[in-house]
Amino acid sequence: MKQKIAICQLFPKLGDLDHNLSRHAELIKKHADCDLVCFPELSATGYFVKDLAYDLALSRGEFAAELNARSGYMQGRPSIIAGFSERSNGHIYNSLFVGSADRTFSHKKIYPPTYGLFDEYRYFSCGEQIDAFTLKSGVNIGVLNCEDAWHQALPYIYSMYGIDLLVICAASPARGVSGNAEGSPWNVKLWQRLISSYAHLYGLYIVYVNRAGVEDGINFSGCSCVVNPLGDITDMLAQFDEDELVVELDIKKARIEKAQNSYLKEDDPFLTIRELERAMRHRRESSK
Amino acid sequence: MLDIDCKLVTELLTRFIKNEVQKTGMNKVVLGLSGGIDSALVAFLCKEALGADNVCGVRMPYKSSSAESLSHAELVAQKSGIRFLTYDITAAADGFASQQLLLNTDCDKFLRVNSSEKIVGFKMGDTLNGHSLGNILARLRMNTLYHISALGGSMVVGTSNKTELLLGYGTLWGDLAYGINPVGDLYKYQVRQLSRYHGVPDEIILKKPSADLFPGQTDEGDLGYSYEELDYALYRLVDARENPKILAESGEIKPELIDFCLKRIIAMQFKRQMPHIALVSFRTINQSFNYPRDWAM
Repeated sequence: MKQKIAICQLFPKLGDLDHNLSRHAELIKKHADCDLVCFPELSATGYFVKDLAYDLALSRGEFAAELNARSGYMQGRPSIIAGFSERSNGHIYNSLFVGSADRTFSHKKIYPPTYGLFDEYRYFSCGEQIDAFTLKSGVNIGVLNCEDAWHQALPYIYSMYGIDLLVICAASPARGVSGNAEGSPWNVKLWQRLISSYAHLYGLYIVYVNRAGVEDGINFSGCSCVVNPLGDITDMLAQFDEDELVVELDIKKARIEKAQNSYLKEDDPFLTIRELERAMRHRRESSK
Repeated sequence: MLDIDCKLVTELLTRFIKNEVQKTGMNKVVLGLSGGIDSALVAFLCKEALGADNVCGVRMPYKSSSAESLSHAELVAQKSGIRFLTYDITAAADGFASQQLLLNTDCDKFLRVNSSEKIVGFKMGDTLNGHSLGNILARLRMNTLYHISALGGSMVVGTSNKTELLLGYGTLWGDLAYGINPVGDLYKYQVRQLSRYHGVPDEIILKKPSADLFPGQTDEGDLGYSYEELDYALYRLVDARENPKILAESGEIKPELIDFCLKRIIAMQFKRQMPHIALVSFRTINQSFNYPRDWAM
């Protein structure tokens, strides 16, 4: 089973929803022959939104309607993954929209970071659930929103859903420029190490879609990439600049890899749950 | 420890300059050329980001400026190929100094002027010392740059490095006033490394940094420590976030240098922030009304 995937490493205009949605629509139309078109985190709003998180928030239904009005994606072949500020149950979330024909889903970022240059949790609430989603093509995917990917339990839980493809959308600022950086920001290398390990451990494809451009003085790394189920980075997009790439992934390979993957086969999630609870009890007791 | 990947940093900084300037609808920048290394590096970076024709260096001498500073500023313009202007601020500064300050009410205490006689007025220039003259010159230069900026629609680019910003070695609303600053996250050591990479002339890289207010003045003389010492101490305290006490006990850095850095960093915090606005509502600017600077750009 082949999946044609367009990776759109966008440079959104900060706070200009209309402009950004039109860019999404252009790219969706351009990649009408793909199965999936992926955009970065908060691709519809820009990243450092601050109070704009509230001003630009839409419900999942409203976002789908806005996107469909411009792109007609519901009648087309590709499913869409895009980042937006979501209003849901009176809260605002940093969400990933997943739209496939008339079915929609959103992943609400579980870990909006608030350290260093990040201040997301001030503006966004935390998502509390992860769910796999089946594309029109029948492929099972998981989506994670940037910082989520640094919490290893989340890809692990997705692996229990038996996903074939994990899409990680990101807005990762470039940092770390020491003399041994070899031309790439240090955190680009950290991302690559992280997702290569996940792909290999869980026998799945990973599409990492980072954003590009400069916002409030901060450069985003770009360097979106595709990792195969052996953990090899097979494709890489431009560093820093906007870029696009269409890749064809052989999902069968992921399934074969998964079937042969002894780490997964022998993994006992019930033991994990049991022992994790025991460890947490121990931690609580010993901190008394 | 402080070494940087010059190619990578250049990519980041030139993209920063190009994007942050062009987003505003402008495509030109203006900066003061002091003849020193920081403004030289910024000139070269701006040239790489926007093209030499879109960068204007302005030399703004005062009568006490050294001939070497003036010729080095010209050298930067020549080597980088950027546009080049000179505006002598002597008349403006001396005009400011020669004007009488008339005290309509008793302001002695307010002005902290110690005199046995009742003071009714004095010339501004009577009260100037090296420090206050430096601030006035810096603010006249700021005026000049912002006027040129408004004339041709160009953005004022700052040249303060991280060492200076952390120690507050700059004039508020003077050289600390600018639209963007590409080198404010680079320590002096890193400015030197990147300057060599960009071909800033050796004589500018190797000379002692100076605010050039009087003959023989140097930054290191003013600050009391060498940049090498300051950069290293600041890196360990700020970037590596090491505990000052433990660092002092380790003997790696002189305790008095650690103390000096910490005191300056804290005392000069106000120079790195926008002023406070009194909060009375639920939507106070910069407290609870928070929007990005690049809003819809």
